[in-house]
Amino acid sequence: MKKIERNLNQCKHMLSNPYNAITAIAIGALVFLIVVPVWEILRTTLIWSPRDLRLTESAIPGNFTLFHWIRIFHSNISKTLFYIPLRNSLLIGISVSALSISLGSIFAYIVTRTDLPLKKLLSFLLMIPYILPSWYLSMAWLIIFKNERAGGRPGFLQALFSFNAPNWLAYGLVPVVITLSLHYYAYTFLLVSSALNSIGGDLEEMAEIKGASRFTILRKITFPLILPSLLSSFILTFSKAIGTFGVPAFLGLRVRFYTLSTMLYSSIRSRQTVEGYILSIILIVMAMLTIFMNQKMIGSRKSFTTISGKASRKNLVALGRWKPLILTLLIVFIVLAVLFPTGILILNTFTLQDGVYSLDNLTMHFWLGASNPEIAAGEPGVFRNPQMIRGFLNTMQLVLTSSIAATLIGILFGYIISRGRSKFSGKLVEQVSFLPYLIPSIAFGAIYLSMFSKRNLFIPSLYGTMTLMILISIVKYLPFATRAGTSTMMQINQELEEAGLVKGAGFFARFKKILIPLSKRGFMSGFLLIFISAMKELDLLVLLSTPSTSTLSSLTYTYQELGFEQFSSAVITIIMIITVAVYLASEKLAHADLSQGIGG
Amino acid sequence: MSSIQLSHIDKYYGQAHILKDVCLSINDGEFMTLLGPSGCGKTTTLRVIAGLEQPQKGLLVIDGKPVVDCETCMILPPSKRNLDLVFQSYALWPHLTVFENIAFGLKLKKMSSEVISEKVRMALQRMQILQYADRYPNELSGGQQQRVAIARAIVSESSILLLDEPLSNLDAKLRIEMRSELKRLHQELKTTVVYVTHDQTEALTMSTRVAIFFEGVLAQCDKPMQVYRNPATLQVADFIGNPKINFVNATMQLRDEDVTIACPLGTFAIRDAQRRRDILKTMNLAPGVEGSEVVLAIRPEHIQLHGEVDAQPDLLKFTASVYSVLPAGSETLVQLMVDDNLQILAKHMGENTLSAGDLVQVSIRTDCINVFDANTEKIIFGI
Repeated sequence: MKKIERNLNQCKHMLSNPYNAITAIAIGALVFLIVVPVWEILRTTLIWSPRDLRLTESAIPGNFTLFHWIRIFHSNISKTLFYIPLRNSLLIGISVSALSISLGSIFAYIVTRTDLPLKKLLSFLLMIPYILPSWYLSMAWLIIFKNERAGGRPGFLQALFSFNAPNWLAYGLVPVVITLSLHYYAYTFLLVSSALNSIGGDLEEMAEIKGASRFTILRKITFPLILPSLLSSFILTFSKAIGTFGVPAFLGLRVRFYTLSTMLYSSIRSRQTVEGYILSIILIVMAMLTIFMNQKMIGSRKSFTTISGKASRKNLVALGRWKPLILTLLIVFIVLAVLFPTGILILNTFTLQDGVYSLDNLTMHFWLGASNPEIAAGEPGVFRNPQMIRGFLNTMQLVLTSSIAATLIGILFGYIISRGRSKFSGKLVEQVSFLPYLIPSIAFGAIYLSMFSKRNLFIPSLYGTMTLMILISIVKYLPFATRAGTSTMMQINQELEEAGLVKGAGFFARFKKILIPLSKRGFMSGFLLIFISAMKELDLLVLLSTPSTSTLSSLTYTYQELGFEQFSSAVITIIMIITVAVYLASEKLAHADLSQGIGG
Repeated sequence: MSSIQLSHIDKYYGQAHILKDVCLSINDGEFMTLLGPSGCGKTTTLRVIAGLEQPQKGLLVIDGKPVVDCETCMILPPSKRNLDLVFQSYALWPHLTVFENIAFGLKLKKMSSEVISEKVRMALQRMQILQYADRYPNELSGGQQQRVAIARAIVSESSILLLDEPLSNLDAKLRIEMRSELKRLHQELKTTVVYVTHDQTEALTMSTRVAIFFEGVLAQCDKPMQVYRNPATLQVADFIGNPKINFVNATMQLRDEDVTIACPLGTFAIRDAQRRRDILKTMNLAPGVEGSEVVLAIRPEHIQLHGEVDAQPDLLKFTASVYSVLPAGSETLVQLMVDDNLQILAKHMGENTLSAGDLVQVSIRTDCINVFDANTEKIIFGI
């Protein structure tokens, strides 16, 4: 009798406490959306596919084989397919990290620790590359440096100064490294600035009292304290740079300069899907290795940055007679790296023939013009272009839905994680929701392409639908959303929720009346971050978007591939305007903090 | 008004055994204080009663109805137990005004808005904070927040009021003020109060009974003065009382018909028949057998310095040297040194003229000495 009652009561608790049910659903969804796809991809690379019959007669579709892996690692095509792209990716990763970390930490030091004027404006301008897509600079680069050899119109330098840029300067490794560094330095800038801000001024003052010089303090006190954040920046930059697609695609493909990510894209586009999947797996493994290295190297030292959160008054370093020089250099940098490229992109949208810089060449055609068969194969101006309007609506739908959904799920996961710290379920959700972080966007796109282009469980084929684009965006941004949600939930004292429990508020009432209102600010920060990331997303969607689901980013890429440079410049101008407007608005309205979820 | 019975409650956090077979019975209308050092299980006990923690073993009965029965996995949610709770952090919802904070539970019960505003007004008035109804918690001082938290708990008119270290975040002056406020509240509302604190003065001054916990074990549950006069174990004796009680090692022997206790301060006999019976029952004493190890516990106020010797027959007299003198106006603490190795502390009311190095005649009434078994650390006989 007692036993029956016991079982009955246990059932009742399970049902009355939705925490368990929600955790179970969350874990199930995470496994289905992250773990299963990766496993499926891996499995695909290890069996013969019907297509392989064309390559070799010994193929038995459905049976186990290492054929594809051997083809990538050890065959006559592995050099072009794998080793050269690998070398290029690593070269990019290392040089971009070195360059952007140097730039970022110098800027961070100048902005946080010296008496330079205009610091607020300068740090805003320095943040612009972060909120814009990484490939907008590479488009500007092409407009400026394009040379005769590639065919088409000449670049800005050619037109104005008759400077015919050599190939190595116009395309390939050098411009890829430069434009990526000019984007990724912002990570270091943000991380190191916040680390520098969190170091109590008293630590440095104490060293000064002990008689240390400025340089010694920098070397012996400041540097060791910001070392963890430097390492974090390195890992972040490196793992992003080796997997990035947009920039090497814009600047590399036309001179057959391949990285792992662009080779992955080309393989899948040329229907060598299994090879593409293997490259995806290699990218994932490389990203994982960097992250694990990071945890090994930093480990417990990470806590440095949070030790003395008390922002004490700091004595700023007087720059003295160096002030004008440093200020000038900084302004020159901002002009060259931020303002000039942006300006030339916008100017480009008003030139009838690209590369011709004269007043009578100016036109509004690419914005307002009706279809004219003589210009860009009859493509009408962006404001009259149904494809553009559809792209805009798609983008809005995608960005708003995925950022709101991801943020809400992030808060829910944050709840599970913060309330289940000691439980296995909490830790599991924390670990699994972090996984998309380890999967480079282009690889993630490839995985979802294979997983959802056919009927899967109860889900019909999603290829070519907005649903798929939204789904992948939500999953890809889960790590940031979850991190933001967890830190928000950690700040809410558990007793606030228990007080509601004692008063008789059920799970959903507690969420609605206590937890959601209290996490408003965290919600806004998370939303802003994901909005900006989603707005500039290209890598994740480039393999999945179809003409009917194209977004502004993918339109930019399509126009660029077609050679309609003015159109792609116009589209990216629109992206820039929306992003900057949303960024400014949410900073004003909600005091959202962008540095909170660095890594978007 | 409600009674609470905890029987054989066991609670684990992973491997850690937090509550060990706790049995406690709280009577209707009582002010029960759960006292102990931090990490002793007092807050966990309170949270088990509240329903915020589930024990792994045991039975919890409120008002004769089982609320938690681990054998059948029966657990009633907190809101069905007719109790309310004041948290240590107050847990006031920062996004709601004082009024909304207090009205929260009533709204969930779907009361009409007139009834709600009347009840909230009464609660605010009782706590003397009616003028702050429209403020947000962060616009109030700590003491005012505390009053809001109490108002939120009493507005539900529950028969049990649980308080988790409610005064620990207040400054010393406010704390004393709130103590009398809470005691008055208990008398007015006639609810059963369970109060958690680590502050013994709070426990002794406010409660009808005190339950003292050490490492998850309920060591003693008794009236405050009883706990002070006759602590059940050495641990309780050490914990209760400020300045601390003096411990002196001693041996106890049965000689002729007398029970004799010998310690560095001297030797004395237990003549009282009842006490002798107590001793013979608990200790294995036989004539001629070597003495048993015991510990004497003597409150500082029971140590009398020369000149104030009272005419009691049973006195333990000895000479000590003054080690240091700590005058505090209304009283003076005198640290004494006996035989160069035993320090004892005496509390002398008022001022005195002693100074370090003086030799002083000391006397202690033997019927004011608690005697503990040195092995079991339990009391053998008290005052």
